[in-house]
Amino acid sequence: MQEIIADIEVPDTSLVRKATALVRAAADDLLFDHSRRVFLWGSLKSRKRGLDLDPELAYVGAMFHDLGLTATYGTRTRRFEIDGAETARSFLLERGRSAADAEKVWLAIALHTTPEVPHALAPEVAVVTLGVETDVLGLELDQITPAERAAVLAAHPRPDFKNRILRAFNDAMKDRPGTTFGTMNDDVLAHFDPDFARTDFVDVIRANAWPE
Amino acid sequence: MSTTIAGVEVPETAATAAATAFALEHTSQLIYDHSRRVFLFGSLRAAQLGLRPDPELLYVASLMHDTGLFTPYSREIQRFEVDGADHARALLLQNGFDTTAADVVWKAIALHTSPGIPSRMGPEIAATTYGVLLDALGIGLDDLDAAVVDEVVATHPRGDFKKGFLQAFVDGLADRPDTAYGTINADVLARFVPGYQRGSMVDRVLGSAWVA
Repeated sequence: MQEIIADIEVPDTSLVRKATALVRAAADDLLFDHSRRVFLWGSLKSRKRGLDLDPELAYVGAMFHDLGLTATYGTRTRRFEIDGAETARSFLLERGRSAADAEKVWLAIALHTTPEVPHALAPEVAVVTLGVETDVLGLELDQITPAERAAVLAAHPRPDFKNRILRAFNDAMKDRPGTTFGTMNDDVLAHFDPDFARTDFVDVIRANAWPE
Repeated sequence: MSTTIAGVEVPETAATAAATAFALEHTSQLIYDHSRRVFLFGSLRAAQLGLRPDPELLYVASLMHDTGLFTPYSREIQRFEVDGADHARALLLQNGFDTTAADVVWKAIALHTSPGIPSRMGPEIAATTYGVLLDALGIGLDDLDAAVVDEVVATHPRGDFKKGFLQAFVDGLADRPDTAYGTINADVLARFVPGYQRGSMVDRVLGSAWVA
């Protein structure tokens, strides 16, 4: 059955149904609803910008972008963004999408917390960051009409989202604090743990093995 | 006749000559020598790790990677990494390279300060980052023979590198401090620029246009 929310079609394909099922099984309502909104906001903004998207790739990028925050797909050895990116790449390759397509989704997820860069890359890369910036940071909310906003939030509500998403970040990263160096994610650890010592680039430069 | 330094052949083509000229004209001696070392160290580390980057693309990426620190080259207020990436893409396209090659170099430069990501990408992108990590942070220094390191540094001396390098960030970001948010560059501004306010992702989330 074709699903349409805020005039955005959720692609009606086997790959998309499997992606939904995978995320539904791994994520709580917070991350599932957030990821669906990321797809919807990102698709709406991409349409308004005239960007031509592969909807399956946009969907997998949006739905898998926070899988690194889940117990099933999160690791302790690398940035959480890479966890989702690697999961998405394998998922797409196993289902017959090309290496080039898988690479776009990998970048979309790996770079969704990297400022500016995704917006300069392919539409399927930019779409995830457009959605994330809308849902997490409220950027350019005026580009979403009140009717679109109401439709998306009716399908995927965001109760106490700000506090809950910050806690989810903290829970998934507090056991791999080193992976937050040089990213915005160390702000979250610093917020929740007064004893967290942010690794500082200036100190790293000054203390490294080179004498001068 | 080609030049070989520390066993690394330095490619001599129209594009590498253009990149050398651009770096000499638009950056400082300190950044030029750093950029040459990034190419040499990046090539050496790539060989150790079994990567085979295209030498010409790696050279252009290395020589251009910090050109975004020098203003005014772009009226666009954007991250210096993206500015440098744009310069390199334009240089390659003017020298007859296709968009695929230009895109590789663009990513190598745009992502050279993004932890944990470029090392998982293609050989030119990874090698650029390995060169930067070695010369700026000393990562991988122990894996090279001392004689090799000595030859690189004798050819392109470090001078008072740590101090001059940090100052280059301060100077290069003076007219665009907001672009440092969420990157390692914010650490440099926080240390050296009086009154600089490091933004926090937590504040951005809690203070966003969303109610909750």
